[in-house]
This record gives sequence, structure tokens and C-alpha cells, in this order.
Amino acid sequence: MEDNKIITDSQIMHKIKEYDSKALEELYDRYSPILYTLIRKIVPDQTVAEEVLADIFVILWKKSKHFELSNENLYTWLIILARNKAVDRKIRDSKLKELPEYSDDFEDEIIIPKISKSIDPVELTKVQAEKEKFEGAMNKLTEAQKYVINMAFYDGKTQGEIASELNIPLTTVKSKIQVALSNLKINFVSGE
Amino acid sequence: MSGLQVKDLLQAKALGCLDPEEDEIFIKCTNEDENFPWKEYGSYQKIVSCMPALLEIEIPDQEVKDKVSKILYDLNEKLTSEEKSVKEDESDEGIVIEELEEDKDVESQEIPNLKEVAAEKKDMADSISFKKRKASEIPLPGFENLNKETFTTQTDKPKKKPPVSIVKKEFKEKPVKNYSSKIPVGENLDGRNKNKLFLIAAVTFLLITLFLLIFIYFKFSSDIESNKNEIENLKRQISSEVINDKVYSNNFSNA
Repeated sequence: MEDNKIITDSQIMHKIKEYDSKALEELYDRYSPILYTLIRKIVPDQTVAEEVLADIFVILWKKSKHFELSNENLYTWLIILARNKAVDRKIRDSKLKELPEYSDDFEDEIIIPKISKSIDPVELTKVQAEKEKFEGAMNKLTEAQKYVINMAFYDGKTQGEIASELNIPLTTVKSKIQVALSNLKINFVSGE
Repeated sequence: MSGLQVKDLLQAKALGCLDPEEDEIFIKCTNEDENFPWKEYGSYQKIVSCMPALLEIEIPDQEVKDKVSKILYDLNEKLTSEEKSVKEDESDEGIVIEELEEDKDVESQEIPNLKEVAAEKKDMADSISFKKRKASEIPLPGFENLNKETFTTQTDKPKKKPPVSIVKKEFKEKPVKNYSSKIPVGENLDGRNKNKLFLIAAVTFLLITLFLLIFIYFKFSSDIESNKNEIENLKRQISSEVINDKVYSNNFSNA
């Protein structure tokens, strides 16, 4: 798709807000690989992962009005939405934890992320271009920090669950996560 | 919650690992706290969103794309039917309101009369209990299933805008118009009756024509037959006269 080079995420989102299905198709072609990869990492079952991916685009289509174009950060919004949706599905399927009933309000409040308007726009192409830099920043973290970050982001564990699973105090987990993410940010910025 | 405490939660929230209680507090802060550190929170969101870029990319099957489009198509179908039912409800609502307003007028005319009667006949007043009819009690032909609740909710609340159809172009299938239902039933019946009458008239005309033809045929054939007989008689008569004449002439000549 040559148009991908021209049309920005923000322009696509403008079109989706006007219910342009071509724009949604374009967005699907652009984002489905990374979203699917992320979902598969959280939910290994292929069928479930496909369902979650479909759900993401249905949410996007149904609730595109919720997306504020002023921040122009579709990439971050989609990634966090996919992560939240996949984790929610994983927990519901496992029935290990009781979650509130999945309703429209729950979706709006918990699943759909509130993205800060104060960050610079991030596009997929930019993220892919900076992959190595990010990898370098990640590699500078300690193994324990990386492990905790992965448990939180991909396994969908809360700080309390991580603490009980690793059999360490909750305060330790909290500080580990704070330090890990702060360091990751510093490493990434300093790598520029 | 103080600024320091919220700041402590930023990283965990960006990673999505806050415990429910803290998550609740955080959401409250994002909604209410004017000094919420959005910039810092955004920087962590940005960092976290870069994490999947490190994964080995897996491309979903083409079937998933078809599945997504099918889901969206079904969703559109559902919304279109909902939109249709909302429109139908609104048009029904209009009729119900009109009819109830008419009934209301009738009721308001009847009330003073009954009150007058009640005032005149004080003895009977106690026994008379004027029960004002409720909207739900008024029989409305064709609206038997409409109860008070649905009526009140329909009229009290501001008219809901029909849900906007969210799928356009490829995903949106144009609803097939039911033209037959739009044709007024009366007109339809008139047309059918006209056709029937025309058919009956044509058949009657044909039967009469056939009857006349048969009649004419028999009439003519009997006339022809009688004429033939008459001719035959005449022929016989003539021939007998000729023979008589001959015999007479022979006798005369012999004589």
C-alpha cells in the first residue's frame, strides 16, 4: 500500500471517525501485525488471539468518537487497548480471578486507555525505526527489572500478584517497577 | 491523594499493573486532579507502548481480516435494524399520542357532567366513584401490547436520535426496501376487485355470445329444415299435378 507513506495515523483516524471503511481497512493492514503479535504474546491460543484482534477493531470502529484526535497518538492508544483487552480476555478465560461484568462502562473505563495529550505523536514507522535503540535501553535493565516488567505487561499481573508470586514484599515490587520504568525511559532518551 | 503519591503510581499504571484499589484512586485523580502529571504519565505510556516492537512480528491470517469485516457487517445489520425499529416506534408513538389526546378531550367533556350529577344527587354521591381512565386502560385498536410504561417512557423522555449507522461503503449493505408493504392495502384490494369484475363480465359476455350462437344455429338449421320440407312438399305437389295433367290429357286424347 503506497498510500501508507502519505496518510498519517491522524488522517486515517479522521476518516474512521466519519465511518470510512476503507480507512479502517488501511489501519488494519498497518497495525494488525504488531497488535496480533502482542495479543499472541499475552494469549497464546490462536483462535482467542484472533477474536481479541477482531474485538480491537470493533471497539475502534464503534468508539472512534472517544478517540481524541488532538493528541494524535493512535499507536500508543492501540497498543495499550490491545494489551488491556488481551489481558482481560486471558483472566476471564482462566477464571482465576473474578472481574466485574464486561459492560460498556467497564470497557470505557478500564479497557479503553486514557492517553496523555502531552506526549509527542508516535507512529508505528518511527517505533520500528527506533527498535534497536529501544532494545539497547531495555538491555541496560537488570534481569529482575526486566522480569517484573514482563510479568506486569504481558502476564497481566498486578503488583500485589507479582509480590505474592515472587514471595517478596509489595513495596519491593512497587519500587522495582518504578525504578525499572524510570530507568528504561532514561536509557531510551539518553540513547538518542 | 497528594501529588507525590500519584507520581508513585504513574509507572505501574502505564504498565497496567495497579491493584484495583489503587487503580480506582488513579482513575479518580485523572478525572478530577487539575495538577495531574499528564506529561510524565504520557512519557511512560510512550515507553511501554514501544515494548511490543521487540517481539518477533507474526502476521495474522487473511481469514482474520474477513472475520473482522464480517463482524462489522453484522454489527451494521444489527444497528440498521435497531434504527428501523426506533423509527417505527416513533411513528407508532405519534399515532398513540394523537389517539390518547382525542380520548383525553372526550374525558374532559364527560367529567363536568358527571360531577354535576353527583352534586345534584348527594345521596348517590358516595356510591359514585368516578374512575378516571388511565392511558393504559384506554383500548387502542392495534396497540394492545403497548403498556403504560412504554408509553410514559416514550413520551416523557426526549426523543432519542436513532443510532447513527456506523458502517459505510463496503461494510454497509443498503437495506432492501419493502416496496410491497408501502402500497396501501385499500388500493391493492380495489385493483384486485376491478380485475375480478372485469373477468366475471368477460366470462358472462362469452357465455351469452355462445348461447346466442347456439340459439342462432339451431334456429337457422330448423328453418332450413322446414324450408326443405316445404320445397319437398311443393315438389311432390307439382309432380302429382303434372302426373294428373298427363293422365287427364291421355284420357282426353283417348276419348
